[in-house]
Amino acid sequence: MSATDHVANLLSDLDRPVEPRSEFRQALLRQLLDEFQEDAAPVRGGLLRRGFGQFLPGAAPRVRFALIAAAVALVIAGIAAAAYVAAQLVFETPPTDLSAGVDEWSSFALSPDGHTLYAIRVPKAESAHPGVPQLMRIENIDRGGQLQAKLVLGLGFGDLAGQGSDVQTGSVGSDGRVAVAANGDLFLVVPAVARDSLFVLRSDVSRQRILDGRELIRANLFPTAGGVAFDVAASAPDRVWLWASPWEGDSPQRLFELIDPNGDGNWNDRVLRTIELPDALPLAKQWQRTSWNAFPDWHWQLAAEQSLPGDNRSRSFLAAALSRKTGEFRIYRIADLNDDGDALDPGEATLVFDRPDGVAGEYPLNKAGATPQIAPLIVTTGDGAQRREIAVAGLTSPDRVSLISESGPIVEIGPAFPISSDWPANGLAVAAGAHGELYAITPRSTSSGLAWNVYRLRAENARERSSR
Amino acid sequence: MELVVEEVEALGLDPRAFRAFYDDALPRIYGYLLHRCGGDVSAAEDLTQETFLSAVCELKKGQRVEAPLPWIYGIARHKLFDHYRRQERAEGPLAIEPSAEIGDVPFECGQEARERAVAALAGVPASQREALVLRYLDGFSPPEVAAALGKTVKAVDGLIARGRESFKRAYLEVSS
Repeated sequence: MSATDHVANLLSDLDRPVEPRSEFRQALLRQLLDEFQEDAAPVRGGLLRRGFGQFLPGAAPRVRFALIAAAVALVIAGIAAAAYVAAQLVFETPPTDLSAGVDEWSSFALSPDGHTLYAIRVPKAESAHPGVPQLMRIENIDRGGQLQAKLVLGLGFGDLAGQGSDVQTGSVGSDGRVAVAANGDLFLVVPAVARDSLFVLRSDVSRQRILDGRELIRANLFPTAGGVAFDVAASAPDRVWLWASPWEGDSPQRLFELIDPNGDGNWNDRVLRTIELPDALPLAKQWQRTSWNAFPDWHWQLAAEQSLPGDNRSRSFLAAALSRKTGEFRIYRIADLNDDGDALDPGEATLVFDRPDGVAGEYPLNKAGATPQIAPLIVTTGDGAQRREIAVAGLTSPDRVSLISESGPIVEIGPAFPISSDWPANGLAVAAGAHGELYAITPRSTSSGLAWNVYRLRAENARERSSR
Repeated sequence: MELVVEEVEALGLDPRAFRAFYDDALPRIYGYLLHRCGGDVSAAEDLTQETFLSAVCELKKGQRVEAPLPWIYGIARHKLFDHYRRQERAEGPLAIEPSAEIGDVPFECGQEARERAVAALAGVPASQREALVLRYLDGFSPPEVAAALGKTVKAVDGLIARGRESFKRAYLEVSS
């Protein structure tokens, strides 16, 4: 190239060291040194990837006896085994060898029409650490046939940069989360290093960033030195609930309500409201991360409910809370019905379900971040009446799905699913649709590695038939 | 060579030695990625993190690294190209390549010119940027660029030519 090639001159002059932000330098160094101190190769999900056997200490007879006693107590408390729901395997992901990398599937959600199952997948990368999470979809999940999982969107900078986003993906924190609104819009928590972001992916495939964790930090709602992790529930196309937990730093967990005020699907004018919660809710009011694998005492999961004629649930959501210390499992319904910025008024924070007798530190209520997973469901009975249930995976047993009625007992449904002994206790997941569809998803060990199996649960008699 | 071997062993076994390597390598790798990502701090931080995490993983596997800096530059380059390809997929058919040729950019140097060049590089379509980076920033020959990208030399020549036009156009825009 000649000396007068100004393009070459300009470009070749660019390579100079640049000092990054000190916060980034320190956070990355801390993460790398943590990796050095870990015996195993670092993988996304941290503790969630530890073996199931790790949570079942040895085979001590006393422990076994305690587990059996707990199971008996649960039965006495009203758990009825019901075998009237059949399960049909409808999809299986290609097997993956976890020891060689990462290929994890999580956060399953059904489209409103029940035809498409969405999930977050963390693919293998060419190196040891995981790749950028991906939003996947399995179409015609309710129709059977030759099903394929297709990539909808990569949750990395490259795929989202077109929207002027400053999103990062990272190898710590969550793998992302997807929630589906009643009009089919997808709300995506895009994982980032200590600061998640919330995007909407509309049914016309346009997408928009709604909120970045840094906005909450700049608003002094979370410490500058820390970060924010999100969970999300979309109770309506124009109303999203955001659970924000501090990644580190002395800070409380907070609940936000995000509203698209004119309901036009453009969230540029979004309204963000902090919702004050009653003291009775076991929130971490002051929490500081002491190690990379530390978590607040209570794990929370959000889920939106479907609305029925005369029973609008677009302004509330369910929040499941699991105590890692005591094993207590609660489900609340939360709303701000009078728009006064809190859930302190009558009927705004209702305890829907409480089981205080969990086994702390053991399956299904262990300290490792695992938790039973919930999916609100509407069941249509043989006489056409509809009633609300909550499907819960892993509540009574690691391999069972249960239904919780607001006024009835816990009822196990479907078979015992073939879960993997190499997978943590919360491997079993559920996804439910607006018309009674119910799917159980479980990681299963195969000769070629771990594969995620999707089962459709169907009623075999009229008593509990789900209708379309 | 002895010194390098000691450094490699320390990298694998001693976090303090790794920290010294980190202090030296971080600004280089971050700068390498930042300029090639068009000054996008978030993308550069993301890729820097991925690069160092991969490096630590490899060290923990017991890999012997005789030249740590070239080694980690190699990792960073892989991460960068993955990033470009994701961008390329995202740009898809929306990437517009005007056909009209424009004049050369003026001869400039200094910090302001570098900042404009970084901004202009960000405006170049990802596939062309990839070729420009390899050719002019990394100093690869056209056959080496072709081998790195899995393309023919002729295709790479075309990419570079179009990339130069895109860069010049973007540079003149940011300069005005």
